[in-house]
Amino acid sequence: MNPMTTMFESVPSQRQSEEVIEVPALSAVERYKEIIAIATDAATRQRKLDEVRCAELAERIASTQHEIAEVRDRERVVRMGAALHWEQAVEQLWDERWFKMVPPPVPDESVPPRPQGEYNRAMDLAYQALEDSLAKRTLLRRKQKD
Amino acid sequence: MSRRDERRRRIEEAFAEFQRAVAAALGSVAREHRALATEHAKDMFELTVRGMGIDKAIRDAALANVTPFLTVDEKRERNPRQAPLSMAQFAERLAQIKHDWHQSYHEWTTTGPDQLTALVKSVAAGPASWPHESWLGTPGTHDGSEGVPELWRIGTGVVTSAPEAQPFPVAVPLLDQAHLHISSTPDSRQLADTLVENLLLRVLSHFQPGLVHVHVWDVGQLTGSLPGLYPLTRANLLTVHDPARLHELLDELSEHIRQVHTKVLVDGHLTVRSVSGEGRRTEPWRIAVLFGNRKALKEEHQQQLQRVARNGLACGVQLFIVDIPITINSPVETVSLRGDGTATCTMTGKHVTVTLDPPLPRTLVPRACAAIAEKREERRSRMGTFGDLLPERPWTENSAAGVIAPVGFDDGEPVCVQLGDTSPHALIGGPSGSGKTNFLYAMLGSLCARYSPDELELYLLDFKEGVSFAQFAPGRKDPSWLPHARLVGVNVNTDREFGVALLKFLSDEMRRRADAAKQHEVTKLEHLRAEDPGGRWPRIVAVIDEFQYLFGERDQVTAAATQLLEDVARRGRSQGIHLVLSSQDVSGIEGFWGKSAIFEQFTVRIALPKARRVLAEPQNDAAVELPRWHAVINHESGVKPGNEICRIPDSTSKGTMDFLQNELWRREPGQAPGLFDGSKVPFLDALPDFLELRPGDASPTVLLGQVIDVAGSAARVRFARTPGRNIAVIGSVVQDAAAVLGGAAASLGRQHEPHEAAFTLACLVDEAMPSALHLAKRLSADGHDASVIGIDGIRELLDRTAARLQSLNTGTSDTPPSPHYLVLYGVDAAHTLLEQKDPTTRASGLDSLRTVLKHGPENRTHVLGWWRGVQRLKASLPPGVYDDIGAWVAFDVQGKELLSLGPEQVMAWSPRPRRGLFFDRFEHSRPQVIIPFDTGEVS
Repeated sequence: MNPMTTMFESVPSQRQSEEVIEVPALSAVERYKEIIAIATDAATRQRKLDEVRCAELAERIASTQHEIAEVRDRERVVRMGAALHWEQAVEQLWDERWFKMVPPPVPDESVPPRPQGEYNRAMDLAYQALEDSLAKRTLLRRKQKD
Repeated sequence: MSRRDERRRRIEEAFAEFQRAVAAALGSVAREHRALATEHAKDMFELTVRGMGIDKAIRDAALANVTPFLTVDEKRERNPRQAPLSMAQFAERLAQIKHDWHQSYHEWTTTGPDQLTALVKSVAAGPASWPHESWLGTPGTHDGSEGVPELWRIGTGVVTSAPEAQPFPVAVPLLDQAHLHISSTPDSRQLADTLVENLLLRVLSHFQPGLVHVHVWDVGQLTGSLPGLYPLTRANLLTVHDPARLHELLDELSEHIRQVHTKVLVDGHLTVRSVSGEGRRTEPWRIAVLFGNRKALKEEHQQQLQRVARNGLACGVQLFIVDIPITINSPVETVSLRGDGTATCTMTGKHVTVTLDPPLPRTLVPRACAAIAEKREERRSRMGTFGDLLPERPWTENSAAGVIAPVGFDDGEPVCVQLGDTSPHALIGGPSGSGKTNFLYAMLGSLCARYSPDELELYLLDFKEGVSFAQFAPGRKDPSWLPHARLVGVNVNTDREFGVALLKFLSDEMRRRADAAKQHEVTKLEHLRAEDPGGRWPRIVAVIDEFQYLFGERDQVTAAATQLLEDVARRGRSQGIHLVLSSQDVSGIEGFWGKSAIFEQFTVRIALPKARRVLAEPQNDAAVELPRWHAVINHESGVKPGNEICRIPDSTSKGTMDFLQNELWRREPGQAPGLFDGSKVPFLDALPDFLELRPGDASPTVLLGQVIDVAGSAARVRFARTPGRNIAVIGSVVQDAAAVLGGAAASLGRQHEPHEAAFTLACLVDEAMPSALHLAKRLSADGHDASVIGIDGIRELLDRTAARLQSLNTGTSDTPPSPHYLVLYGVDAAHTLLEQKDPTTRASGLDSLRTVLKHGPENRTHVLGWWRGVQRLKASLPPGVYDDIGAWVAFDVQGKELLSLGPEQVMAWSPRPRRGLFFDRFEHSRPQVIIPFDTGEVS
């Protein structure tokens, strides 16, 4: 048993009789404006909703722009690295007269999403591997000359 | 495979791997960049659309349309740029925005327009909102009793910001509710004119012609505004005001408002609408259309217009203000017209674009107005008849707050007389032949048809011989009576006491009501009725025609009448007692004009043609040139602005008031009214006071005649066994004396068992013999011992009676005294005879008479004697000692002769035919006028 309800007398009901509170009838003008208010309210509601969403969007747009600047920088770095590697590879392959050079590769956006660092590392490793494949022969040739 | 080939293969593979790795590294970062850019673009798109608002965005050229200018790339790729709203990448965002939009407006879209359409349909039926095809050209029939349309259509609205453009009717409140303010641009002024014309036509076509008056003022032009309405001017329904005279229009409206406040808005009503209640609109609406030029009015006009606006609505004054910059401190709806022809409106707010209804067909408007004017003229020229004064159903009104009824017609419109707390009493003036009786009949008929006898009682008194109220009491030819009449007094003539009696009765009733009100702790009849719903508290209207008779002489009657009139006039208002006094000429009635406390209460003044002083002359001389059958009704104590002139229908011809009375009588006759007819002699055997007499009372009651009072009660003397209980009738006419003595003896006879009392009738003058014999016959028929003696037996009778009384007084007789009444006709005729002394005893018959008068009453022997003059009576009594005659009735003797017999008020008595002055020294402080009975002697 709840001690709170036993400690106090229950509040007597305020209205004993069956009387109905008369609601004054609305005039047609009041009723008309009441209905119009549905539309006004809807407009207000819509504007409010838009405002909230716009504020949210503005915030997001600001942060996205930030991210875009970052990714642009990153892209530039990646491109530079790739170009550098490519240039070196071309230089190194220059001697391999049999090798038919091709234009630099177009970006392949179909790669599975992974952190960019992995791809950068993979590119470095691939270059290293290429370099290695070329380097062995030079060593041999030098030995043969000696 | 050779070593060289092997190496080449390894290099190729490594290169291929390197190629892939570069492509992957580049691709990965490029994709990331692009994904971010795309997301950013979407966000930007959404921000733009939402920031602009979707409703505006979808109409925005930059977003919705493709630019015709292509970039070089676009030309090369043959892939022109798409409009942002139709770009596939934004489709999802756009869908979301649209979804939100529909959600927000869901309730409006699904219910709003439909609800508005239904609402306007329900409160603005007929011309108020329907297309003109259904009403234009047909004059209206509504008289305001079914209410006033709450809204009046002006056009179609669309919520521009809503996803779906669903049109709905736009309507504004007008009459009694709100003014209308219209502002336009130079380009859209034509639309403002159209709006005004459409609305006026709707209103004019809704109501009965005449219920709406239009005033037009246009600062720019004298004529030309609202040309289609011009036919209305010929029926006075349209007044066009001079551009330079705005003040005249504003003055007229202000004066109208003032009049409504003083005349119509009484008894606590705040608006004309509440006065009219469920019934017909009593006061026409006035719509004032003011066309401005977007410049402010002069300061004084501005202020006056604001006053009219503030107080106008309650008084039925409606303003249409076009292009006048003004702030109004009362309900107003504003329609603002834009240059592009659309509008906004305070009813619908800024989100709704309103397209006003198109103008009504040019040719049909003047025709419709002509039809309205014609109908109005037809109504106006129709003579209002008595029947037009009556309501459709009788006895439906409630008189708690007052009574009001039309009495005549002004231009076909009924003009009412109202009696209530603020207009308590009415004064009617009109020389003979001016139609006063006709007016009173019209007023009474109109009142009686509206209020049931439980709501209204009438007391009708007519001093003149013309007998104008006799019809309201049952008569020989027409047994019906007016159920409301409680008392009808006709031929009152010189019986001014009856007027006083009526005022006394009203004063007593007033006090009774005040006491009852006090018990319920209220002060007014209206509140008493609310507190005591089961009680019967009708309003009382007392009409006294030719009331100047009341104040005709400088005597006690006038004094009493003045005092009572003041009392009732001052305090009757709150107890629902209203006086209607009428007279041929009220100008010289001192009792009325001499006391401001009286005439100031008579705020309702009704002047018939040529009536003098009823209205506040000389400023108000409206009655002078009043045509026949007309009256000036004025509820403002006769000051000129209160005049209402109307024609009073014929209410006295056969088939008018008499027919109504018969109808009402058949409906519920109730009790017949008391009738006082000054030309009629009250019939003893029909008098309730006589019929109620029974044997058994030790002190029998003698009825001498009828007192002039409201109840028609009898004048009484109690024959107790005390000295002085004899009655003398003084006068020279045998008929009067015989009537009093006959009535007195007959009433005594009713109070004794057969043979219990003895009646001795002594006829001492010959001409009294028929009366004496008739009385004897009547008494004998009742079983009494009645003997008639002549002059030869008088001495013996008196001596014998005196001797018996002596023996009773000295104790020598032991028989108990039995009632014995000596009815002596013309005592003075036997004077000489009685003066003769008995030679043996030296006693005269006069001594015996004096003994009988002195000692008779205590021994149940009473004298009812007739003397033919005061001196002759005195001669029969001991010199200077007249108290053996305790009560007397005097006829044709002058008041001052009676001074020795009664109080000084008898001085005022002057003889008049068939009226006696009655005084009982044991009971009265002042004498009363009585009417002797008809004892049936003639027949």
